Amino acid sequence: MTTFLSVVRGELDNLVSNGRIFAIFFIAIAILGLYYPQPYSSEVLREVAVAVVDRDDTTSSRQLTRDVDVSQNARVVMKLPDVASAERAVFERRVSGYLFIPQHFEREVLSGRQAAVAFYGDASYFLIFSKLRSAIGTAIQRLGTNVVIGQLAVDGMNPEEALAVASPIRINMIPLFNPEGGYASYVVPAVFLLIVQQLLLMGVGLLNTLPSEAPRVSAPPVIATAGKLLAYMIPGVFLYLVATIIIPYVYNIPRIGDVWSSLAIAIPFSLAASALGLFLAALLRDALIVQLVCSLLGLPLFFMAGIAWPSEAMPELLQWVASLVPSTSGIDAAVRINQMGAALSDVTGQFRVLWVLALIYALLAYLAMRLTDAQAEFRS
Amino acid sequence: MRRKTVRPGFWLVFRREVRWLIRRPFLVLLASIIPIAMFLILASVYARGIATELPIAVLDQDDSPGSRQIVHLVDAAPDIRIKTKVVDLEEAKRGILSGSYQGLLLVPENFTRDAMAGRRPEITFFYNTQMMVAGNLSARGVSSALPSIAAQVQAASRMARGMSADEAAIAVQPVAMDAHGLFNPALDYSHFLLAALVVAVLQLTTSLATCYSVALDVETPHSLRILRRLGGGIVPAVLGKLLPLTIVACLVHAVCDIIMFGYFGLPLDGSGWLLALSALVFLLSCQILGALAALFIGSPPPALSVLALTVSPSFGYLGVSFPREAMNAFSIWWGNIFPATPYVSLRIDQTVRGAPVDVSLAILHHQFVYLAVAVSFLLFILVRITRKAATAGTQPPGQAAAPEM
Repeated sequence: MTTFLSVVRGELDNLVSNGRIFAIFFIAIAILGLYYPQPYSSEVLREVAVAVVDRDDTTSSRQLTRDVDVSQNARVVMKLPDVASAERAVFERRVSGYLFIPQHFEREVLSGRQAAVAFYGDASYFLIFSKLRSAIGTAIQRLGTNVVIGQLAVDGMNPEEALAVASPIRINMIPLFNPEGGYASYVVPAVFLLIVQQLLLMGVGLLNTLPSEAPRVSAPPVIATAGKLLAYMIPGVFLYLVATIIIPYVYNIPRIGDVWSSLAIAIPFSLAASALGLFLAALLRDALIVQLVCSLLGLPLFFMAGIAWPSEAMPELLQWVASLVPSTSGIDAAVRINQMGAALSDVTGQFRVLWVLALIYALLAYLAMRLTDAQAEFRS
Repeated sequence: MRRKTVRPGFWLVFRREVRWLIRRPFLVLLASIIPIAMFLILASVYARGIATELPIAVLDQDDSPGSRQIVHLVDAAPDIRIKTKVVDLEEAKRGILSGSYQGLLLVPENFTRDAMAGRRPEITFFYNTQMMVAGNLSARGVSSALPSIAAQVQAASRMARGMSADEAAIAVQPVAMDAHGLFNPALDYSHFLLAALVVAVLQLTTSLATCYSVALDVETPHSLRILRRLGGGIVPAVLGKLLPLTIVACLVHAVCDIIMFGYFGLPLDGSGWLLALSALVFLLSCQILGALAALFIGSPPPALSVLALTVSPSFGYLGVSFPREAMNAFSIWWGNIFPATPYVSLRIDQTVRGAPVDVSLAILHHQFVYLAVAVSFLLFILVRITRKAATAGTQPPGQAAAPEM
C-alpha cells in the first residue's frame, strides 16, 4: 500500500515539476478553448445570400422575392438580369444560389395553370443548401396557398374552409436539445472531449517516455500501473470538467445535464484514455514519436467519432474500430448527458464500453510494463 | 554526367538531405505513409457518400388506415427508416436520449377524421439537432415526404368534389419549385469533404515533416551555417533542404488524388494545370510554414507541439464544415494564415464546381502572395541568424563544412 501511494505521489510530482507536461495538461486546454471554437462562435448560419433573376417583374414575382428576403434563412442580396450573371455570382461565392422566375409567371398563376420557378443552390455545403431550399420552398408554399385560397374565395368558399382545402395538414418540425440549430452547440462539446483525450494521451505518453521522467519509485508492474492511472485521474477529471462545464459556459452553450451523471462518465473516460496513453508510451517508446502520433490521431478520430458524420452511415468495420477508442463512447455519453439531459441509465451501453476499454488498456499497459522490466532485468 | 568533387551548391545540400531522410525512417513515414493512411481512414468514413436509412421512431396515436398510409409513405423516403413503433412519448424520449433513433414522427389521435373534416390536424416530427448532421438529415427525409402526402390528401378531397386528377394536381400546387443542387445533384458530400480532408491532412503532415527536418538543423547552432556553406549561399541551401520533402509531398498528393479521382469518382470539371500549379504552391507554402515554426522555436519538440496545436484545428477555419461567410472577422482573417484555406477553394472550384478559370486565378494569386510573403520571412530570418553568428564569431571563420553528416 505504501509503495502504491508513493507511486501516485511520485507520478504527481513528475506531472507538476516538468514544464512541458504541465503545459500540456493545464495550458493547452486554455489555448485551445480560446482558439478552437472561434469559427463557430456566431453559432447559427442565417441570411444566406441569394440572387433573384426575375424575368416577370410583376406583383406576384416581387412578392415572392420579398417573401424569400424576409425569411430568417435567406437574404436577397442582388437582382440580376440573366442566368449567366447569376451563375457567375455563385462561382465568385458572392451568393450561394439563385431563384429564377420566368416570364409570364403571374399570368400562369392567375390563369389556373401551374407556374414553375427554378431554384439553383450551391449544394456543396449541406447547411447552406438546406437553409436556402427551405427558405425558398416556404415562400413558394405560402404564395401557392394564397393563390388557392384566393381561387376558392372567388368560388364563394369562406377563408377558413379555403385554408383547410389549400393546406389540409399542418406539418410541425420540432428540433430538440439544440433548438437554435447552433453549430457551436453541436460541435464544441464533442470536440473538447476529443481534445481532452488527445491531451491525456500526449501527457501520459510523454510522462512515460521522456528520459527525465524515469520513475522515482520502483514498484512491481501491477502497482505501478494502478498507481499511475490513479495519479492521472487528477488531470483527467480536471480536463473533463473544463471541457464539459467551463468551456460550454464561456461560449454560452446550454448544459442541462446532471453533474453527478456527468462525473460518472469522467472516471472511466479518463481511466481509459490514460491507460491507452500508457500503452502507447510502451509501444512507441520515444517521446517525440508519441507527441507526433498524438497530434496526427486527432483528425481521423474526430471523423470516426460519429459527430461529423452519423456512425450509422459508416462501414461496419470502421464503427467497430472506432469503438476501441475511448473518445467515441466518451463523446457520445457525455454529450447525451450534458447537452441532452440523458440519465446515466440512458447511456449504460457507452458507460460499459468505457469501463471495458479502461480494463483492456490497463491490462495491455501492465503487460507492456512487465515486458520492459523483464528486458531491463535481462540486460542487467 | 561528370561528377565533380564535393563542391558547395544546391545538389550537395539535396543529397545530404536525402541521406538524412533515409536515416530517419519516422520522418519519411510522417511525410509519406502516414498521410496516405490518414486519408484512407477519413475516406472510409465517407465511403458510402450519402447517409440513408437513418433510424427514426413513430408514435401513431390514430392507428387508422389513413395514418398507417402516412407512416408507410414516410418510411419509403430514402433518408430514413422507421425502426421502431413506440407506445408513448416517454418511451420515445428515452430512445432519442440513448441514441436508438434520431427522431420521432407523431401522428395524433383522430388524425384521419380531422383531416377529412377540414380541421387541419398536425403531424409533428421531433428531431435531434444536438447530433446535427444525423438530426437534420432525418428531418430532411421527413419534410420531403410530408408535403407530397399533404398534396395527396388535398387532391383526394378535390377529386371527391368532381375534379379530374390533372386539374386537382395543379389546383393543389399552383406554383411548383424546380430545385437543383448545383455542382452536386446527388447531394453526395463525400467529394467536398474528402477534397478538403486530403488538403487538411497534407497540410498537417507536410508542415510537421518540414518543421521536424529543419528543427533538427536548427537545434545545433552551427548546423545552419554548415547548411549555408554546403549550399554556397542561403537560397540554394534552402532549396536543397526543402526539395526532397517537396518531392515526397507531391507524390503523396498524387497518390491521394489517384484515389479521389479514380476510386471516389471526383470529377475534374476544370483546368488540370491550374489545379497542379495551385497544389504545388500549397505544398511549398506548407513547407515554409513548417520551416518558419522550426526557425522561430528552435528545438524540435516544442516546435512540433506549437505547430501541431496551431495547424490541427485549422480544419474548422477552412469553411468546409461551417461556411466562412458566417464566421467572425478573426476567424476569416486567421483562416488566411493556413495555406489550405485558398487551396481548398481552388481545388473545389476546379474539380466539382467547374468554375471559370479567371475566378480561380484570383485565388491562385492569393496563394502566390502568401508564398512570397512566407519566403521573404524565411530569408529574412535566415540572413539575420547567419549575420548574428558571423558577428558573434564563436567559430573560426572560413573553415570548410565540418563533415558531421
